[in-house]
Amino acid sequence: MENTELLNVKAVCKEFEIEGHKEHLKVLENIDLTVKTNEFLSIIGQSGTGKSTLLRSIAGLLQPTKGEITFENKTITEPDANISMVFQHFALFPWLTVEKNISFGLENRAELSREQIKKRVSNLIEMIGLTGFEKAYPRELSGGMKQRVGFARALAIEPSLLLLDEPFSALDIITASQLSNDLLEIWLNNQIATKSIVMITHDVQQAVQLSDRVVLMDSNPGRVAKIYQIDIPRNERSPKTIINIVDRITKEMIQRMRS
Amino acid sequence: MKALNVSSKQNERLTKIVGNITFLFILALFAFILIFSLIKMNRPLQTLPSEEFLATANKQNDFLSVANLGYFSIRTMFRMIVGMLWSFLFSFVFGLLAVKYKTARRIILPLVNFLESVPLLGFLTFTTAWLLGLFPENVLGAECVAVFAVFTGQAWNIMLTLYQIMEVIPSDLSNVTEQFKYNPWGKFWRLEFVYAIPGLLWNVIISQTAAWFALVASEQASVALPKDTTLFLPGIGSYIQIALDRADFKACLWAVLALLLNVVILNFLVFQSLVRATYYFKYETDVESTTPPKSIVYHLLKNATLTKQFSKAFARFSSFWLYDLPKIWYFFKLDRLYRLVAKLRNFFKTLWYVSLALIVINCSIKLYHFLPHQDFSMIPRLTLYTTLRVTLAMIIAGVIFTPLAIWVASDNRRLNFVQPIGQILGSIPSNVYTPFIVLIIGMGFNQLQWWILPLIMVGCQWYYFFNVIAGYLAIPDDIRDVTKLFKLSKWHWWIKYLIPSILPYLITAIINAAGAAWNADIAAESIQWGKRSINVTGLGQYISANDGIKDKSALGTLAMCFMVGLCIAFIWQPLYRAAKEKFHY
Repeated sequence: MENTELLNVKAVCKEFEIEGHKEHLKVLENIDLTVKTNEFLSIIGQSGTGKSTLLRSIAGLLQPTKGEITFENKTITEPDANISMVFQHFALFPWLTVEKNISFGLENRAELSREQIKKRVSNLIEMIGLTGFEKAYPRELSGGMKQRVGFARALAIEPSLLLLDEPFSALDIITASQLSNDLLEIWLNNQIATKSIVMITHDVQQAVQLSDRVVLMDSNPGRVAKIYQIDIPRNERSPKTIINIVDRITKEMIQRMRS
Repeated sequence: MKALNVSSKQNERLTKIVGNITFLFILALFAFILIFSLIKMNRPLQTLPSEEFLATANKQNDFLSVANLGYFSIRTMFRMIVGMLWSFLFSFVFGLLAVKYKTARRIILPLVNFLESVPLLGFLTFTTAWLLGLFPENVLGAECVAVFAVFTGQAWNIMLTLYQIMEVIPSDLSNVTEQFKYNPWGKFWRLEFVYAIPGLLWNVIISQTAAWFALVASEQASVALPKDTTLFLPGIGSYIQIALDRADFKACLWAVLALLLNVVILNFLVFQSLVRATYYFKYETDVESTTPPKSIVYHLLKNATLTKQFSKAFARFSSFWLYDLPKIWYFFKLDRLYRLVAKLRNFFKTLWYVSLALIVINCSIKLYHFLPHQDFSMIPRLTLYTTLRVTLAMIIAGVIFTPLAIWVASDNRRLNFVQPIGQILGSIPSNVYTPFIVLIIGMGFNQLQWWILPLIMVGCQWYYFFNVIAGYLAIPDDIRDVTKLFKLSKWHWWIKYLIPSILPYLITAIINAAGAAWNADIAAESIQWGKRSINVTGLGQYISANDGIKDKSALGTLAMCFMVGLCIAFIWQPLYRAAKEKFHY
């Protein structure tokens, strides 16, 4: 399997201006990070560590104050057609039906015909387990179903990099683990074009369960504290087998919070 | 089982047919109103009946014959529809400008805030002259005056709401559109526009009341056709006015009935189904399991085959509008031109502010020379009287209608029942109540001039009613539960919980009510019932006595605007800001 670098975050800093203050608020300081092809990377940390800012910078929604982010060897200056994102609170358009929500990103692509869009959407609906809900509105769906639509919409444009912004934290534990298992399965079986996934979370166990590497972030300003390689093969991971590493990361997090 | 199947299939076919008929009926009705009125409108101004002509009853085909009301309804409805469309257009253009450009926002927001509460009736002398000039010697000009009344009745309010909504578009949704590389054009139509629709619709329904009110008051125009005279447009408003002039109580009642019927029809056919159709447009992060509101018309239309074909055509058009139209923009490289212009932003900014300052200075000098200096001394006294009256009426209306609104809103069934009735009652213009006032005066209240207060109150009380209801409904459920758990005393319940909870809404209500109260005051300070005309000293009386005399009208209006501006700048705005920051969930 190829193992090249898909995404490169080089010495990225991000500052925000605050109204009425002369000094800028430093959110990210000197972030260096790489995401390899076929890798699932998790970023964990307390709130206020700039995880979300980092993810939005990778998405091209924010511009870093200093440093550079490259994706497939091009610098990111605006949202890229091969990157897409899933949101914590789903961010579905309430006025669009499930299928219209999923096709939202596709409709903006001139190269796709109406038939192609239709076909892609119906394939996704089947793959992600939404059959029968095509004409439903988000308001009529449960949280888990809504996030399924969120995933389908993000996957519809066949991105090579998928960004997940705490995608499971608005769901109950059982729904969350079902959905994450489903995602992992279609990704590992190459049912989707996505090469790599970057996920933000504050749930250590979930991060270890899913990822190849876990990045621990520190706050004020946000920076990379430690990176953990998860060496346990995916099919051998269970709450029991990963307990040691989960403990190690949790302890490290608590220690950093105190100091 | 089989029989059931057959009957359900028959049912389905029946709803389809009925749906198609409903669709055609609504389409035909509105097409008829528009075309019919347009044909009737394009005529010389002299064909309209004048005040003198209408003063006495005509044996044949009298203006006040009940049969006329059908035709008059069509004409009034036409003005309403056209006025609403203009309000929409204005709101979108200026709301968007205010959201996107800071320089525009600094002018638009205070100006609209001011216009919202300035008495429209004071400006009638000037707007009438201008609008009549657009179509010289033609009825179209007079129609414009009436349409403009609808516009001023609702446009400011709609624009402000739209601005407030578009300011707070959830960043997640905004991120999604950017993520999928939508250009600003696509982003506006697919996100910002649609996102604004539910709030906009709700506002149109609420401010409809004010629009009917203003429309009915302005279906007449003072013109100088050889000699000065007032011409009457065919419409329910003129009907009411003539009925009042002739002291015809029965005709008054018929006209109010016709007006109410119009309000109900418009709501039933258009607004109710639109509210249902846009039920899913609301963006909520919490899961809420409310059932959609019911609308027979929507239900019928939804199943109609014609609607489906119509929406297919619409989808094709919108795909052209969204994705093909911008290609022209990029083909001519207009985006580059736009970026170039954006670079010169500072230059345009200075130009904008300097020219604004020059216009303001120029206008104030001209205005000063234009005003009748001999009347200056009496203005402060008149202003004092009128201000006292308006304040008193507003306080009484507030004291009565705030608790009433709370009482109505606290029970869901009561609310569903009372609110539409309130909306309908609110659209009855204040001059309809004149007969009752004359009755009160007859009972000996003339001396104290108390009778004017109810007339001002009917103009402003509904703003308390609707805003307070909205405020009460916006209180989060948990807060409501907390107050129940702690068993507050009645007094504490009002002071510590309710008033602070609805304060932003209450202040909005007061601001709106203030504008309406000033407006109602102009009409109320001098009323007509048959040959009898009853006046009290005040600014309103000064304005209506000098209707058509431009310099005196300008002075009266200016004095009123000054008071309104003073209130906005030093009382309402600071209060509103404080309420928004501190008392907000």
